[in-house]
Formats: sequence, structure tokens, C-alpha cells
Amino acid sequence: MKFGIRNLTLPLAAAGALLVASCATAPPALHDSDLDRLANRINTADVAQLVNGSAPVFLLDSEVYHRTSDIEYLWQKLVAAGFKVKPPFTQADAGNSASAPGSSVAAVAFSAPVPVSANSYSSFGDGFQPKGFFERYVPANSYLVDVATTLGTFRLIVAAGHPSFIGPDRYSNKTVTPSSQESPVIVGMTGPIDTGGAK
Amino acid sequence: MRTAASACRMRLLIAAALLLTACAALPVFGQEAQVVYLQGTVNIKSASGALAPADFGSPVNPGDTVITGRDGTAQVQEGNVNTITLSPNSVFTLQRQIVDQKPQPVLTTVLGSITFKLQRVGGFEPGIATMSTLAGARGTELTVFAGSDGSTLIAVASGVVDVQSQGRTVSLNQDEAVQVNAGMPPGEKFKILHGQLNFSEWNQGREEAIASNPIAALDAASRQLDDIITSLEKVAPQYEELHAKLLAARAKQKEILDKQGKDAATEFYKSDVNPLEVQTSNTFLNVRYWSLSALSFRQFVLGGIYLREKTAQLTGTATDDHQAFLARFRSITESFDRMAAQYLSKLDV
Repeated sequence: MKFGIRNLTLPLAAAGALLVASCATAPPALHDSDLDRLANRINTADVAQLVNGSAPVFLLDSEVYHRTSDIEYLWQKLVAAGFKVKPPFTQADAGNSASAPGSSVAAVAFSAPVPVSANSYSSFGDGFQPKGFFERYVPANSYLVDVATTLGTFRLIVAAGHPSFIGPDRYSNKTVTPSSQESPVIVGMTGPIDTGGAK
Repeated sequence: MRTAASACRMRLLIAAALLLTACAALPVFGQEAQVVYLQGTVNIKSASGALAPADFGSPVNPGDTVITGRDGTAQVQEGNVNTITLSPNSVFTLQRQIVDQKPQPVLTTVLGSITFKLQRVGGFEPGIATMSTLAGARGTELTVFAGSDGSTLIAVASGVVDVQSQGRTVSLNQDEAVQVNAGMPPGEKFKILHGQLNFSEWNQGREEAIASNPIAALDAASRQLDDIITSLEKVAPQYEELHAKLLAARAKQKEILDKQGKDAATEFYKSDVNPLEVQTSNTFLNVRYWSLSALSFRQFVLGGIYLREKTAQLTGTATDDHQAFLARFRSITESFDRMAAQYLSKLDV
């Protein structure tokens, strides 16, 4: 059967519309460069920077933390334990990786980011808190990503860009955001986990 | 297990309760409470679920939680007479409980150090609570410490405070204090001067107790959660029964409207439906009070114990019983999910 260009007009238009629609609704991507910055932040071991790059309400396994002091306590202990992205590259080293020449830290140490979906909470438990946390506090532009560290493989919830996490408040219309412009933002973590990539 | 229908009903009722709370013209004390002073990081998690930085003049309503950061202090005032001062790293909740069919404000120190200066005006007598104690205050200035393990220390600068826990009451007068260890009745009261209070030093002992025996800390905390859940178990069936009666009464009202007309239906509403609505609403507020108390306990006390054990395990300083700790923790959180979570919504998380 022969098809002229006119026969293709409708399917092409539909495909184009679908593409535009999907682009319009797709969350900002989490690029390798974002993960490189994240690895750098972790490996720099600066607690203040790590706290600033964490969401103000944070999920650790199945537990929700609202106090900055708790998030700070977590990073202090992890840093003290030598928590580093493995192998412990810095961004400058990334291009010289023997295992993956020319690759970024992200390509070596992180799994491919998986956009957060309706069932993403299950990595963190199936109780009230993880479910509620994902519905309430995880921004739309968030991803699950596994990272190999010196303490094992951890699954992170990572929000791309500079999301506003909470609010607006009914009185002040203000939102709580990390105190600096660290990006991407770690919204939660669980681990060590069995490796096998983000679900 | 809850059915989909009851889950839907619960969501609606929670929404209704939140609306009642948000719109309540009745102030929690005699007048509206608001933040009158703050420094550093201070956030308010409102009953509607929003978390936002506090500001001068921010209202504090029933269901709200005020959280100060490591560098944060805040003062909440009601009228010109009652003042609540939060030290850094403290968590304070303002709730309302129905006692003898009347709303009673309950001021809870969930974590940290909070000082209350309260004057009894027009019969106002709030409950001063921690996760393990309830105190009745009469014309009082007192400081409440709530430690990482759920323990409490209450010190009175003026007035009289009755501290209750685990069925035992201790009356404190000026310059007296009492410690209530997690899951235990109040200890013996002792003399203390206001200047001798140091939360960091006191809480260090609580932190060390968690570190030295996390399972024992978890067990003690579990007893406290059990108490909260027991209170919830008392009011939840009452609520369910009242709610069923209310639905039946509304159905009957509709039947009367169809058969006997508007006047008869209105009369029935006044005599039967409305009193049931008030009772059901009041009982539901108590259900919410206890389920939110369980959530605060889960998030700020149990969560804190978990954080310490988790990081100890990651840093290689945990005890050998880490798996036993995890099993115990899981059992406690399952109990929370089974009993309290059904009366909570995602906005509460």
C-alpha cells in the first residue's frame, strides 16, 4: 500500500502533540553532572554543605525527621565513619577513572536515576510514614538513585533543580527550602541495601 | 482492617476536623496565641500540614507544632498573660482535648526545653504535657525538659504543679523538680534553683542511656507509646459507635422529612441529630489528640532513638544486638501503624 505525505499528516501531528505534551509534563532531568556534584559534595565531607543540600524534612529508612539537628547528626556520623562515594573520586579525578576512562563519577558510582513513582516508597518500608512522606514531601522532579559508598550501597531520593519543598503556609505563604542553593537536593536515604539498581 | 468505605469516611472526617481546627473562632487559651519573639531558625508545622518559617506575629493554633533549630529560640504568647519560651532544638505542640465535654488546651513539650509562664485567668487551666506526663498547672512558672529517650524533668519556679505519670501523682511547689524516666512513674521530687537547670547536660545523660543500651531505651519508649495507644483504644470505639448512631439518626431524619415534613424533621434534628453531632465531633477530637500524640512520639522520640542506633551501626559502634533492635523497632512501628495511623492523614506526616 502506498502512503503519500498527506496520509502521514495526522499521525505525525498526533505524534508531535504527544511529544510536546510529554515534554511539558516531564520533570527536570537528573544529569550526570548533577550526580557528579552530589558525589563531590559527599566526598568533600563538609557537614554544613551536606545539611544545606538536604531537604528540610528528611526520610531515613522509614523514619521522618523534621529537625535540622537530626539531619546534621546523621551527616556528622556518616562523615565521621568515612562515608564516601566509592571509588572516592573527586570531580577532577572523574575523567581519569581506570575502570571507566573518560566517564564521570556518576557513570561509575551511581545507578541510572529512576523517576519517583507511586510505589517508590516501598524501598523505604510499607508503613504510614514512608507512604505519607512520598506523597507529602517528595517533589515531582525527584529520582531514586543507588550510590556505591564506602559503607555499602545506599538508595537516595534526589530532587533535581531547586525545588520548594513545603508549603505554601496558610498564613505567610512562605516555603521551607534548604538554606543554600545546593543542587541537587537529597530528600531521603536508605541503606545499605542489596545492590541491583533502583526499582 | 479498615474497609475502603471507612477509609473514605475517615479522610472526610479528618478533613472536617482540620477545617474545624483551622476555622476555630475559639482561641486555644483565652485569646489567640502568636509568636511574639524569635531568633534563628523557627518553623511552624500547621494543622493543615504546611511547614513554614515562623515570623513575628505568626499565629499558633490547635494542632500546630513549633520547631526550633539549633540556633533558634521562640516565644509564643497568649494575650498578655501566658508565655511559652522555646529553647533551641525544641519541639512544642499545641493541641486540644475534650474533657468533660469542654475543650482543654494541652501544651506539650515533645523534645527540648520549654519554659511556661502561665496565669490562671477566667478559669483557664491548660494541661502541660510531655510524651510521658500530664501536669495540671495553677498560676505557675515552670520549665519542662523532654529528653531524647522520652524522659522528662519538670521544675517549678512559682505556683503549684501536679505531675502525673503511670498512675502516680507528685505535687511540686516553688523550687521543686521531679524527673520522670521513660515509661516510669515520677521519681522523688527534689529542690532545684532555676539557674541550676541545664538541658544539654541533663539530656547528655539520656543520650548516653540510649547509646549504652538501645534496646532498653526502645522498651521504655515502647511502654510510653503503649500508654498513648491504650488511651486511643479507649476513645476510638466510642467514636465508632457514636458515628454509627449519627449515621442512623441522619437516615431517620431523612425518613421523617419524607413522611412527616420539614418541621418534624427539624424537630428531630434538634432533639436527636445535633446532640449526636456534637458528641461525635468531640470524641473525634480526642481520637485525633491521641493519634497525633502517637505520631509525635514516633517521629521525635522513637525516630531519635532509631537515628542514634542506625548511625552507631553504620559507624561500627553499635551493640551486638542490632538485629534484635531492628526487630523490636519494627514491632513497635507496626503497632503504631495498626492503631494510630488509621486516624491520621498524609498531611500529618
